[in-house]
Amino acid sequence: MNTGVVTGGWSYVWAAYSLTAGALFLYGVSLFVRVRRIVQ
Amino acid sequence: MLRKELLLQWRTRAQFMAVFVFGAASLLLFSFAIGPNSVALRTFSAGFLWLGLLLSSTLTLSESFHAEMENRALEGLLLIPTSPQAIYYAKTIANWLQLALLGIALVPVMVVLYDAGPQSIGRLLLVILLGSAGLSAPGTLYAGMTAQLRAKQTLLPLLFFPLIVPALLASVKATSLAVLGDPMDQGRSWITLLSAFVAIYWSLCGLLFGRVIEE
Amino acid sequence: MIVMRERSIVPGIVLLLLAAWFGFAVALANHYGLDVSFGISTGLQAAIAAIAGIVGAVYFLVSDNLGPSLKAARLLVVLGIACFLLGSWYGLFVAPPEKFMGQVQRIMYVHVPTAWNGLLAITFGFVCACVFLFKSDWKWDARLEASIEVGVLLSFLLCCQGAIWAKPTWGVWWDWDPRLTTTAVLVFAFLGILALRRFVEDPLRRAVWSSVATIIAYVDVPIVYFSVKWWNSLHQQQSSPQTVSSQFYLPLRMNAFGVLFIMTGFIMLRSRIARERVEQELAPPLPRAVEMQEAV
Repeated sequence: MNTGVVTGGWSYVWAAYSLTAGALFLYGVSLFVRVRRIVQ
Repeated sequence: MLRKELLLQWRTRAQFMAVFVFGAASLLLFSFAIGPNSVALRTFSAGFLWLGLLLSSTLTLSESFHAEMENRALEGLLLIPTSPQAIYYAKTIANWLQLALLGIALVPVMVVLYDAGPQSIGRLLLVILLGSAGLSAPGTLYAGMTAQLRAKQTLLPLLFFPLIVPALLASVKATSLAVLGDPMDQGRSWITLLSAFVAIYWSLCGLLFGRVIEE
Repeated sequence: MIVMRERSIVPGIVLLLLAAWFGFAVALANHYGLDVSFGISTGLQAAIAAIAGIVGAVYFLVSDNLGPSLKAARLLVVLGIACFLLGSWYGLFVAPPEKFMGQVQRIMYVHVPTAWNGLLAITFGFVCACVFLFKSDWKWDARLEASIEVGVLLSFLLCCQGAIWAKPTWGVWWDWDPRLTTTAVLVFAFLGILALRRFVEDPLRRAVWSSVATIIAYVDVPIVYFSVKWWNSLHQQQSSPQTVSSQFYLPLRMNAFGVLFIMTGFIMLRSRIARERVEQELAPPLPRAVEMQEAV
């Protein structure tokens, strides 16, 4: 089994992508909300 | 300027003793984290020495601007015809001497507690001198900054600790090589790194200090 | 209220489109049998893409006082999300699994872009700090705060992705790889600066001190890197695009531009917020009246 090839690992990939996308999304939303408050 | 700083430190030597006791107590406490395992204690002795010195240094550094802040003497210092660089270097040298003395004073404690008799005393002294110089240059600058704030006790380590990671790493490595023996002479490259750190921050912080204390 | 100077956003858009075109559009078209490279070699294409991308982003970052700047920021964020979605879709479903790393390799398509852009944001913050110390212009203070905050966010994500990558690859969440460790130190150093900004009430002191601290912390980054590298010489070789086939670098580059656009938009929005705060703090006496007149 020990061939040096990493098998599986989709869960890690999804974790990395969703963490990044989620954090950027939340930060972006907070920015837009705060900017809107200023502009009005 | 330097004479004034040294005089000030001489007057507060009781405080130096208190810091030394704090450092020695932390060395004692670190050994409880490992347990009575003399081999492990000897291996980690250099790391514990520098952690103890680092923790004590936040006390010394934040005290070094205390006298100035108490009766707004910093404004007075700025009025007399000297450059901010002179104030900065006087304070840094004073802090450096104090930290180096503290480091040297902690060595016997380390030897007794961890059974870590150094293989090369000269090398150990050099590392302590350089390492405390590396701690004191950015430390004095940040102490000058945070001394004027309410939250100085938390903010000084927060700014100071990440910055001196390379100096700490190099000092720990070089000290541990001086204690455990250095057959490959790797200590030399760590001392070079430490010297580079000291040279960069002694010049950079001196340049920037003027902007920090100007009103 | 500051009267906005009108400056066109067209040059910035043109630069970014140029960058995106040579960055991934050519390779994407090539994948479907179209040649739109105008005969420019791939190495030159990559150079044009990188330079145009950075220059275009900086154009937007230094023109956050333009009239339509908020619109531009929104446009950039939308463009960035589009690129990021396209790149992620490509990286997750189209690109084949890598020979040795298998599916885990796909983390790299989001990890490497985050690393490049995080470093770019922090570097921009360093430039802002230097300019502020020389010019004492509040715009640069606001940009400093914005870019440091976005840079810290990206670096923090970078650490998390690095840990997620390390677990299946090396079996541990954290190994003392120089780049990962340097990023962690960098996160703490710049978090300290953000905390410093919270605790200083006087805006002039806050601006000067955080500029000084930014310069000191930025100079520290390469020293930390080399010391950790010497300290622990076990680590991965860096992969360059030349050794990777187009199927691998396509999603990497799309995501790189996606994150670049999102980052630029975020910094513009965030610096607008920081600006508003400084203006309110300085509001009644207006100590820098000359500057205000210049802006009119």
